[in-house]
Amino acid sequence: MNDSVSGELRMQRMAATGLDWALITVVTLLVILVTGVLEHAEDYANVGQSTVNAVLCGLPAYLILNGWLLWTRGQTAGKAAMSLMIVDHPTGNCASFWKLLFVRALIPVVVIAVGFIWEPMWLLVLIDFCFIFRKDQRCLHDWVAGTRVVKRVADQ
Amino acid sequence: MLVVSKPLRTVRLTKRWSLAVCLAVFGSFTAHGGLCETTEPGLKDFYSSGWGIDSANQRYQGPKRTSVSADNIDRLELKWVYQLAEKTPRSYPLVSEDTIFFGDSGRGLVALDRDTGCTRWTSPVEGVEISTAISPARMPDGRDVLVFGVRQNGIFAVDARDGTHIWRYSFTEDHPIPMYSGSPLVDGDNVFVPISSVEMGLTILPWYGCCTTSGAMGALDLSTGAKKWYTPTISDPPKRTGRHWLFVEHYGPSGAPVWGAPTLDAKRGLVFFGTGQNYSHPTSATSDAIFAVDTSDGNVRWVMQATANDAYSMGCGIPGHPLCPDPVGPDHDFGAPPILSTLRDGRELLFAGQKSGDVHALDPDKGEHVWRKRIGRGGLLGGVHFGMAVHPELELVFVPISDRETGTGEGQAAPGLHALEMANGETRWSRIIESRGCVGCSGGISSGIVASRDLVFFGDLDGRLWALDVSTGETRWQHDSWQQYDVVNGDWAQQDDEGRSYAEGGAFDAHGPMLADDLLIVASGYGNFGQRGGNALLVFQIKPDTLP
Repeated sequence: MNDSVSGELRMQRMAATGLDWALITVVTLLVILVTGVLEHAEDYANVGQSTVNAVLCGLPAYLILNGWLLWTRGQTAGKAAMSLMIVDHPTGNCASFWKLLFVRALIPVVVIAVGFIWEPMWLLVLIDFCFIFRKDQRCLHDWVAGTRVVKRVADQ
Repeated sequence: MLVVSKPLRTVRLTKRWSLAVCLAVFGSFTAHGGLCETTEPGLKDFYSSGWGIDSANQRYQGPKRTSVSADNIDRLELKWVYQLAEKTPRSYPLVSEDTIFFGDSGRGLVALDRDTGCTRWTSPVEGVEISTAISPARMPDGRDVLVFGVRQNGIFAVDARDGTHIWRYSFTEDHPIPMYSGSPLVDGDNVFVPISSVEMGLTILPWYGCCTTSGAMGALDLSTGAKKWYTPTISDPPKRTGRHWLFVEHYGPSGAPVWGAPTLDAKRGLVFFGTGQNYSHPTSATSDAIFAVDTSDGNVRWVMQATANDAYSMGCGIPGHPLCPDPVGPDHDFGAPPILSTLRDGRELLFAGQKSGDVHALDPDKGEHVWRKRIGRGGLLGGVHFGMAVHPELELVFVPISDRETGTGEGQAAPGLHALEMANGETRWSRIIESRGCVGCSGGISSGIVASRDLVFFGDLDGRLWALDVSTGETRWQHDSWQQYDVVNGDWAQQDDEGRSYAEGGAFDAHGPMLADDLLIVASGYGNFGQRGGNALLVFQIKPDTLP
């Protein structure tokens, strides 16, 4: 991969991540709205519990938004928009659904959730992001899940 | 919910360890200050009983309790500065013969030596913010205690000798999300507790089903922290009134929070307090009102509503927000505690300042108006906020007016201090305080004020501390707190490049200045509403006269 291709992929990946977060936020708000889990005064009696509830609403939101794409094509909505996909690092094949969901996607959620209790944990989000500037562009969560992000070609 | 805490270890040891670690790691901890040699504070002589200096909330410190006067004000100089942990302090100093107690949010309740500012003890509290004045009291068993509120965590009583926790109470059985922004008042075995609601802030969330909570006044037993009575300001239960976006249901009536200190009328056996606006429709007849309730059982004796049909929520700050009531009201709370004072002819009047800019003089027996006067424009961030003061001998009511530019009221703004005659409300003098002129600045007075025999002290939103002549309104002294101060304590995280610990001044807001003996004590900084935050607890003292 030459430098210009590498730079383009990096930009597309960052755009995909931004798009994913924006979409997940919107769908999470819709889940909160429909379920009414944060609608009443009692739901705010315990600040920690309200935060956990809000984060928990993000999980169905993630599945609603990305479940089908991850299952069938190894993509999130943002990555689909940018024609990217997630593959197994060693084989280059489409990564398994369970790994994408319970390892790769869950890591940022856990980090952020812990950050509400111990703020320095949020530094890990920054560190994770900085890994994209490595030559292989594998972020921390890619290393943990054993995945990488590649450009999707038409017949994949 | 009553929680009797196990006694906490005095924090002196912890602080000492922290200090040692800081010295070892950073080698640059501030030198002059830290922990006192003597940890036990003097508890014989307190200079206030709570928010209002006295339980009638007059905010007047007579010549026996303060020596600061027009004769020596030119010798009032900064003595020491304590760096607070947070930049929106909301506590009010309690002063004894040798100690200043203050709510240092993020650290806890602190007892500081009056002379040097060293820390006698720190009593950590759960929750974010010590949000009230501190009331001293003596329990039946002889223990001296300090009673105060923590914004979302309840009312605390701690041992005044060492800060050991005695009890904590939160009215969560009666109210799912109470907020304690008004100062408690102690009278005998009773602790009267004003109760607001977190719900006001929740109305910014468009998925929130606004609104079901009511403000209230509660009473606790001083010895145990057990609830004696609880009187909501809205007696009708909330009902569903509509919905938005298919799913989110609306409720009302709601609101009428109590976020000012109550006022004691021992003779009549009453406590008076003010309420804020409704959060949703339908409105109640008890919002923007002054209440009188029996001290013994909380039964309502009378209610005087000053502004009817006032429904307003935080959502109204965002155009098109579904939780902004329609029609929207002007948000004319009574945040300032009422003041009970006696005229020379023996008449007693209850003075109440409102965010509309209205000052009400009421008959304390019936709540009927004796006079009413409007000053300035009033509105959302206008009118009277945290509190007025009186001068009983001169029969004057000092009215601080905020009237920020971002306010919503109509008419000519009058930010500054205004002196009204207690008997009839006529203006004796007005002093408009000009802003510095910078973006977001204001010469308005939002914080509480304090009066002495010949001076009245206040801080403005532009961070300037003033002393005006009570008779004329002329400036006798001023201090600009928008600066960095050397401090007697210090957090390594708030040091400059040279390792100097400092505190910064900001807007004056919340509870305002305190006078005790030859001291003037005030916290500078308040970062809410776009104002300038700061973390400086300033202690001024009259410098000895060196002239022969």
